[in-house]
Amino acid sequence: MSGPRTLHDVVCLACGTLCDDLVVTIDADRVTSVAPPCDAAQRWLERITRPEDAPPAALDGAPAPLDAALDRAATLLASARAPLMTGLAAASIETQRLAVALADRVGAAIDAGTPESRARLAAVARVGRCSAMLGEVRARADLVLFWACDPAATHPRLPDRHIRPPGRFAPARRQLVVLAAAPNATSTRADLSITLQPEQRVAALATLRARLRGASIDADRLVSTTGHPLDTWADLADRLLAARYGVVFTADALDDPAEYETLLLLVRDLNQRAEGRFIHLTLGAPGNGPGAEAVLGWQAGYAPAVTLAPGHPERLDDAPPLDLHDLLVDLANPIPPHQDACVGIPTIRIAPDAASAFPPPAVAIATAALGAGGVGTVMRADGASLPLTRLLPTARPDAAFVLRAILARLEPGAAGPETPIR
Amino acid sequence: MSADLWLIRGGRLVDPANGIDAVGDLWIDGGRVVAAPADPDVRPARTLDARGDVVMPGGVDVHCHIAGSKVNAARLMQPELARDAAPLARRPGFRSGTGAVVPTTFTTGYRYAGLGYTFACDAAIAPLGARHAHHELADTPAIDKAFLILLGNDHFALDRLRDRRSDALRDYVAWMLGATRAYGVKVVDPGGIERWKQARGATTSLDDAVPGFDVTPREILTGIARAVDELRLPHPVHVHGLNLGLPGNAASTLELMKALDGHRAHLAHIQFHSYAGDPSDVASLASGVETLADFVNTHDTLSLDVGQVVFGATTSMTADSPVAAYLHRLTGRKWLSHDVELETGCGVVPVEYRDRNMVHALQWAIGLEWFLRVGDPWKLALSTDHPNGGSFLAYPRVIAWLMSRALRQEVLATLPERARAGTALADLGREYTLAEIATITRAAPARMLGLADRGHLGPGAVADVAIYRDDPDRVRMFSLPRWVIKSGQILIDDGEPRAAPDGRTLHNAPAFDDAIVPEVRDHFDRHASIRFAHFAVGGEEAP
Repeated sequence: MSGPRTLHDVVCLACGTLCDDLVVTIDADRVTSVAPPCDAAQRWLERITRPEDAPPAALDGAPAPLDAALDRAATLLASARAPLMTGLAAASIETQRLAVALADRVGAAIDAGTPESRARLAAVARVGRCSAMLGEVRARADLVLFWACDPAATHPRLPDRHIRPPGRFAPARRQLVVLAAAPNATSTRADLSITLQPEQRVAALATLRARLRGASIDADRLVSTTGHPLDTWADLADRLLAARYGVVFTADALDDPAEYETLLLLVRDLNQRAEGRFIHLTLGAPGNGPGAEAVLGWQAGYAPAVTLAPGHPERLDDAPPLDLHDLLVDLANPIPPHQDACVGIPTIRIAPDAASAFPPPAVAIATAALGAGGVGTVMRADGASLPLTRLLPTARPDAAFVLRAILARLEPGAAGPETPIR
Repeated sequence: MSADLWLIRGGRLVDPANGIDAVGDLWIDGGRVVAAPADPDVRPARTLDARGDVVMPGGVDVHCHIAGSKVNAARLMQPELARDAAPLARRPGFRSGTGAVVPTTFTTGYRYAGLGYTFACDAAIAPLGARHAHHELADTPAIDKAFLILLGNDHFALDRLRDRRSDALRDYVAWMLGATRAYGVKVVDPGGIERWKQARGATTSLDDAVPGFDVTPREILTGIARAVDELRLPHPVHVHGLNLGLPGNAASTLELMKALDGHRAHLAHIQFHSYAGDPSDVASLASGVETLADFVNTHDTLSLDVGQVVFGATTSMTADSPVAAYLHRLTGRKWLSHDVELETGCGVVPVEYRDRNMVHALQWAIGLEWFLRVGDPWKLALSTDHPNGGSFLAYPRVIAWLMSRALRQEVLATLPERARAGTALADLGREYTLAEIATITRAAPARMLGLADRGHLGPGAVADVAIYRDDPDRVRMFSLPRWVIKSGQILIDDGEPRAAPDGRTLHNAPAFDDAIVPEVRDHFDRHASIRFAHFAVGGEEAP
């Protein structure tokens, strides 16, 4: 038996930071150490490296050979009138490309959206966006504003990896500002912390925009709409205006299209200054949601939701209602506690824990866990593409292999040669 | 008899690279053009009757934007554009898609092939975006592809230039090409994007030192041009100069041409860099082509593509972030800006070129002036800088304007008087021949890219062939090829799309001194947000 193995530069999908610098030691197919230490990474690694003891495939809950499951999946897809595909954020870009190909083949709708991504993409389509890669934060940022988020709790290594290290054009000490509903782990280290309730956020952003533009502000109403007097917002506006390279981070909780749009407009306004730049970044969510958005964008032209039912892509402004569909193809694990979200709709689940859903899906195909046995490419929220490292050997197929095999059954020759299980 | 041996019989072969413009037969076999069989009894497996047709090499686009994060951001920022064009429906062997100005990837491949084009070079990919670009290009079928990487604002390169370490720069360029599986090198607004990121205004002169790097745009430009020459890359440094779109920029463009001082260079979308006038007064814009064209006519180390403007709605997308910011301020339209760490920028703004707008009308005329003033068509390639000046789908219209002075005059007559006064287009009577059209759409761009086996129909060439009816309506002719053959496979068969096989993405990986690698690794460790180990694109990622 071989001894411990140490793998360097492992990409972590535990949170949206997608750290790609983990040093992971594996002994007897178990993760024995993770460095730098990160509880979120440790938990994620333990989860994705659990023994693959579930059956590789199941039909209506009964273990079945993989080929039989692939045949049944193809049959269901061929006869479905209105299939829906979800869970793309749990897949690699390579799998996502095949997922959209499969959806195109059978005329499925695809929903890769979250409330945050719907709000963000709608706002970007209205006003655009000024953003950057994380390395620019490190290189240049002199002011970092966390808007309604708490990365110290949710993205534990973000500050150490991308904000605190010295930057070529950044001051030795960056100014940190936190606006959140209550003091949080991030605000304890902030230079300025402002409590702000969710219902006050749009008004606060509008106030900042007005202040920047020299527009008149009804100071008497500010406390009731924003919770703070004009002085608070004037001080913050002055700090934003003084930033040479300011950054505002938001998180998944930002799901109000009006708030998103106002925030992007504020950032845009700050870029009208000759003497300073400002950018917006999202902290990102676990998994590969940005990859799904990108693949949908280049293959279908729309994200995060699209229907291919008309024979070509059409944009879906909202999440497609389940009751309009007669078959679900889900690439994600069932939502804990393993309750299948789509009772009543036949489901093809292609995911590491596919067989553990309850009630059991019509077709369950257990795939290699993304980031453990499953490889491919993932995309960070700032657009950086990262190749995954295989941590463990796996007997399970990659999700891309499964989709390719289903496509081949639906349209022989269309999916190209089947690659071996990787 | 080979099943792949085909005869294209009796067409007018327009093959300027081989000095041919005559009726004749063309034989292809195994994906290549071959000499006619010596044995007269050899029969082809298939014969295409091209009598009355014009047979050209497949089209080659030397400068377009079809893939990667910038293009995809434009798609997602403008869902309205996808709705403006009729979508392509899925059918056996073909994927569905949307868009004309910024089409989805599969649609891009189909639509290029639908014009008789078989090769397209994306001219601006950030090295950190190379993996993403390869993914998109892998989903762009029917044509072969390549891309150029952006190095004109790259911190590692700028530091070596400052330190006068030309050998290290050359090794870095070579390493970078291999690591990103790119084809060539582009310089955009050298140092100017970095200056803008630092909020220190725009670079206006070749001698404005880049803050924090103590190197000038002139040194960046010539240093990278020298590195590309020393590496003997098939394509010279691809240059997007300073002051794009500003009145008076012809003066800095001339300075830039002179600064290259004998180095090979390809000047991209030259139309956008050819304006006389006062930089502070948009209304002063006028043509500055004549002097620049005279320079190009007398300097054989320079080639260019035009970046022709076509009236209609399109999208400006550029690595030149300050230009996008300027366009946003000018038009008030939505604006996407993305700073790529250590390397470059990106800006996207919707634009609409209107024939009643004096500036837009002049831009249209200035582009055509370039085509008509450069005497040697081998120095010039047709481009719209897709989609910046307009979609590549407008190429047939541009061809028609070049072949007919009357068509140009028809458009000119509808333009504002002030615009007509700012250009000598009305006096330029030249009309392109089919051989000259084949030169600027095939032979010359292939030669500029150093693609020895493309852009011509000689034995050994890749069997990329476009066959058009010789139709006096040149727009119709070049919009609807009868047959398009890619590497010996029929894509368009008597006007009907038949197949769209995966194309290849070409790249260059010149040799370099390994001593540069630890330096690059250290640079990544100190500055990058991703690990060095994750930068290089593996061969399996970009087949």
